[in-house]
Amino acid sequence: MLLRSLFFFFLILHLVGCTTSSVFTPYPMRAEAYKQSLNTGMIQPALEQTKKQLTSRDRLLALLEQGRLAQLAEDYSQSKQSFEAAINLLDKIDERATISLSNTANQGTSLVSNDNVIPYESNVYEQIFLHHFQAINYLALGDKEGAQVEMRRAQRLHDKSPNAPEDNSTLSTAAVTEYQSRFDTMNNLAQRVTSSTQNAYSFYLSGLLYESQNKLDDAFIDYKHALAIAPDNSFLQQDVLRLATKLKRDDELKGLKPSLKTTLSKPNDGTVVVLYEEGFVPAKKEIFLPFPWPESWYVLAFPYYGDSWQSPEPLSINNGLLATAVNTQVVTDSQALAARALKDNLVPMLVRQTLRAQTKHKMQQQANDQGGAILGLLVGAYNIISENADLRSWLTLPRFAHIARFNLAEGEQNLMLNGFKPIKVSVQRNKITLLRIVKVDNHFYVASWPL
Amino acid sequence: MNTNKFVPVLAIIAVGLSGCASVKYGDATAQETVNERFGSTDLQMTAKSMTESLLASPVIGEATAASKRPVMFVERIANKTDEHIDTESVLDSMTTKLLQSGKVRLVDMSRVESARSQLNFQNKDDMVDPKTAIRFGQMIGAEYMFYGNLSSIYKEAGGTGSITSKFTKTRSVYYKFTLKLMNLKTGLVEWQDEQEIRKTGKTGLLGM
Repeated sequence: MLLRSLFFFFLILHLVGCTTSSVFTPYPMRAEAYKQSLNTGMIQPALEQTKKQLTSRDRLLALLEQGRLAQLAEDYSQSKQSFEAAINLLDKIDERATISLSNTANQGTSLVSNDNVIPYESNVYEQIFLHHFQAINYLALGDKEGAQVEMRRAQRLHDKSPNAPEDNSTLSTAAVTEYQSRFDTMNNLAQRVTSSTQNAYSFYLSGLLYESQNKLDDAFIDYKHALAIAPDNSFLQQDVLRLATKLKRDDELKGLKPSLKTTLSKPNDGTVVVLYEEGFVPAKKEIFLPFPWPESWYVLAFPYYGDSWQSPEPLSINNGLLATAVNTQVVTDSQALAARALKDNLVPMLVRQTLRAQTKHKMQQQANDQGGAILGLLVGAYNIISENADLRSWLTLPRFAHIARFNLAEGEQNLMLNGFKPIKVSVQRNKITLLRIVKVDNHFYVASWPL
Repeated sequence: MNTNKFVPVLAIIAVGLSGCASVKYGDATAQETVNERFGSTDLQMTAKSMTESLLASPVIGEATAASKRPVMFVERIANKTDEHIDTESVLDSMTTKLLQSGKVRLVDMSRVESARSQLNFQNKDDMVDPKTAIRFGQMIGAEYMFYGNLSSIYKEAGGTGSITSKFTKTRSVYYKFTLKLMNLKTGLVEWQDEQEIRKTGKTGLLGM
């Protein structure tokens, strides 16, 4: 009996000891600091903060945030290093045995505390962004071949079919419908996309890299993939039309809108392609739902996306030489991807929650029976305190990714963003210049590279 | 009573953990199968078979007939795989073998800029004795260009379906090296060869 009490005591001590990780502090609260630093442009302190998290269970998450922060601080080699470490970690997870001892131990611990003790393993939509941003690092460091390697790895993730629905025989259908019915906003978000692993933004960058090397067949395939995901995007429509004409794909041309006019470029022109990332992806929220149980009702914490869909704000780009201002158009809506990923992961999560309710209930009963009322009360209190939903996700990702494409005369050009932010970009004749703009709050991060 | 049982277990764990850190030398040419990604064995295998094929080809035979050694310049191997592979290192292994064969001569384009700055220094700086300075315009032009591609196809299976395939995952990767030798005067590709590699990796049911 003494041993048992000691066990609980140490378990509680052990878990309390990890307050710096997300076991007790919800992750979105910690990530607020990263977002604030990006809003104000003071990135260094946030980078220091991510370093402290590198030894925790959220190591992968810390690396992702660190890579993104460093990239926006224009420290591309640091960013590349962080992302590389994250990719290595993911490779290890991928190569891990189906029943791995370390993973099983973590899953076991999660039964007596919460899902936050399972090391963060990220979602496929986050991994696609990871390779996309890593490709940008390679571009910034002048290694186009490396960038293409990253885009091919992202491609591999696109090809990954979502996991087959898991066995949910241990779950009552009532539990699943109960959970789902509570989250109309999340379901509406998730319904905006057909799959959480289809990201037109990354298809577009991949196509662009191929086009810049004059590999038009490959570029055409990627642009077509992107268009299939974002069919209303007129820049994608034009790209597909332009390449279909160039490659004489008559069959494809028939299916395209004939009303579109391809913009003819003048001989001295260069092309500017804008990759625009807007805002922050929403954070998960926590809700406590009563769960029916034979003996009594248990209150369990669930993660969900509670904010309703926010509409994008296109970036307007103007220049004296352009006839009218160019407005960017959305290709990827990360809030929908994130909601979809959470929804697809529903069944395993509910299974774990059910098991946890069972375990915690038994723990309390045993404590009551064998340790007396006080230990029972302690364990009961612990059960309530330790019940937290897993709210972790990569939070410095953009809410929307937009694209735009236009031609400009060669040389140093002045552009005006949203009518108030002047920037300079150097356009090269007959070449593509990649202009990457990230806007959070009212802070712009602008960088450009010739392709 | 109970605690006595734990002692041997703890002792075994302690011994197991203390044995973790160790360093040993291995055979650099031994087969390496850590995972299915591109590794040292692939590099060595490719370099060996490709150089042997090139040296045995008629084009080298003809070019070396009049006890001449053809001059080649090594361009690059384009990496079209989805891994960051140091293709320069693959080329280095090949050129080492080619040079050691004594049948060809090489010019190295990757260090031309360093050579240029050195020659600039020798010819323009007062510190260098003009008599010993190497004049510009004496390098030998290459007759052949050596270049190639490395591509890969990656497939993953398992994790779903029947009970046997549900709990194991198979990853298969196929590499194809293509190397070419172009006669810079005529533009003809005088030699070409391929090396294919297939590797399969499996994740088992149990592990750490």
